Amino acid sequence: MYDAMIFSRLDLPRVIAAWSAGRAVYVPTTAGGNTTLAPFDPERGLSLDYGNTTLSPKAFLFPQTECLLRFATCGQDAALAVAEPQGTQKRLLFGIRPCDAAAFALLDAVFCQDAHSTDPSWVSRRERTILVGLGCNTPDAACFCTAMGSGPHHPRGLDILAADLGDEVLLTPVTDRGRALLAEAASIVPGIPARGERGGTALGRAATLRINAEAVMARSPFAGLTLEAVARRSQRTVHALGIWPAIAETCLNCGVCTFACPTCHCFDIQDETKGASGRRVRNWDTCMSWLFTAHASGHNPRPTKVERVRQRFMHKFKYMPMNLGGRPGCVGCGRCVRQCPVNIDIREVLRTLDMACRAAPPSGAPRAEADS
Amino acid sequence: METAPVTLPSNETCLLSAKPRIAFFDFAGCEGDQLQIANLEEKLLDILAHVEVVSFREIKTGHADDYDIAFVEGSITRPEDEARLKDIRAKAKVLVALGACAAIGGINCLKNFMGEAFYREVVYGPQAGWYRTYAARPLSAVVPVDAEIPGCPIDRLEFARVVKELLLGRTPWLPDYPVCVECKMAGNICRYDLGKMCLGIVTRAGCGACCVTEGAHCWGCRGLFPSANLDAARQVMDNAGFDRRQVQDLMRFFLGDTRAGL
Repeated sequence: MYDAMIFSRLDLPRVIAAWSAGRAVYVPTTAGGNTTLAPFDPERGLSLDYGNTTLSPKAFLFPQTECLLRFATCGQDAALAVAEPQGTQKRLLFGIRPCDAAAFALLDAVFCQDAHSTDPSWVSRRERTILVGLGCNTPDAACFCTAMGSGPHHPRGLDILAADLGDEVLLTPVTDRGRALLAEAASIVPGIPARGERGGTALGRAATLRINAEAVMARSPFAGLTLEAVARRSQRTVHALGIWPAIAETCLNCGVCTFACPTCHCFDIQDETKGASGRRVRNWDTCMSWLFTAHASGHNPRPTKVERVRQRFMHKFKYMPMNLGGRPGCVGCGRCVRQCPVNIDIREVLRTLDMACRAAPPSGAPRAEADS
Repeated sequence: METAPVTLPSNETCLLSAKPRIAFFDFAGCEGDQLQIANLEEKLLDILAHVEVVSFREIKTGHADDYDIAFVEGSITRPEDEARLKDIRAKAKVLVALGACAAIGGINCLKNFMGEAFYREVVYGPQAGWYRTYAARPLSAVVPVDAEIPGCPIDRLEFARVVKELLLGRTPWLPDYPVCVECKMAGNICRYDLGKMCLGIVTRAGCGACCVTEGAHCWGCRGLFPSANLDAARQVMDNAGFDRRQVQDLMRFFLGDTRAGL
């Protein structure tokens, strides 16, 4: 905290330009109603006036489509596999929101569980991607990060947390490489170490912005959401609750929630051959699709929409907490709330789930096997 | 890296001969799907290394009745079409419906909602009485269809993929999710957020959401996806302020044969 730096807001593009040496830098850019992280263009300037990117930034670390390896075919015989180098580019994402950084930290736990299940392409991209987050001063009506163990100025997953103080920007390093990056910027652009009276004022202003943002969220009707009752019930009890058909009734199975979600990470792997060579590609997949669980035998364990919708919420609120020491598989970014064409609100689902779990009779039933 | 020449699978599971003979046919339609295939150009030459085209009137002369795969475009709109289609079905080992008209009935089904005297007059004018006609329908209403390549027009690359899968003896795969998925992948803003009506929420993906990406909306040309939720879609359209007539007009444009009843 003591090595935080204060830069003039007007100098911020110069700070980002300094970071651009040897790295591809992406900044929030709004065009045609869509906000994305786009390559930094000094000519275009930098706007900090955005809510969040329309889609989550997960594609930077987990692309929609990626080639895992290449192979050569020899008739119908096995082939020689060549691993495809992944994520060799150094990148810096400026302005990602704390909820999305928390999602990366959550996915670290999924993609790098132990020595036997570490995903090399995720690790490679994660190590080469520096995250400079910008705290949210004005969360919108769909945001609920505070209910999911994060917060509008939460540093988890970030290398540097920035706070927009209006005329100034406070950059607080979170990791060692964030500290090095800050020193790199300070050697080129004049910045003030956040110490003494001047530093105290800036830290105080940042704290006020954080408290105000949290207060806005505390007034939300969904502020008190909790997973306690869901955690107390057995998986079989939650699975068998009567709430799922009603939740699934309006679902279009369009999968928009899963594509916009920063923590959804299911994928499909396909081999493609052309002539005598081929490649193995990994694509995003969605549990909303019938084909996602179709077996080669023709059997489908999730034959209807009800099972598929239940899977999405069970995965986020039951299976992931069970596997990740109680952490929900949701960071409260609100994208699915904003983008669902039929207004299925994950917060209402969680509230319904919570109430149903409280009302359910105590379960002595044996635990069912996870089907996540 | 050692490479070997391509060898097609020749085991018993492969339905087709090493170099299958393929033929193209058309019923009521604009032959625009066959035009898409002709437009494959270099890829078409690659395909021709693996198949023999015995009938394709848009790009070659001549015809043979000995074929393995029949690609059939257009919808069935006259009683006598049925006999011809059944004959094609009897000769072909694999019958593929090509394009919206063949796969889902398509635009021709617009007439199914009009009086016969009216559409006869519109289409044939003074010769209105010369031709026999009945309600337009997809191929599957007359004969079993082995595979479909939907769309108006078809996606050229999807055609190439389906041919490849057929040659490998696999059941061709179609996306089982709606256009919304590809719309998100393309980074489009939902048409409903822009106050427009769109059938992407019930329509089978595979087109890359091309119409929406170019600024229009989805017309539903690829047909309904398997678990399309029509009730919820109706509610979405209703909430967006579209009346029953507007919804019906858009639904009947391509999806008239689905009896979707939106």
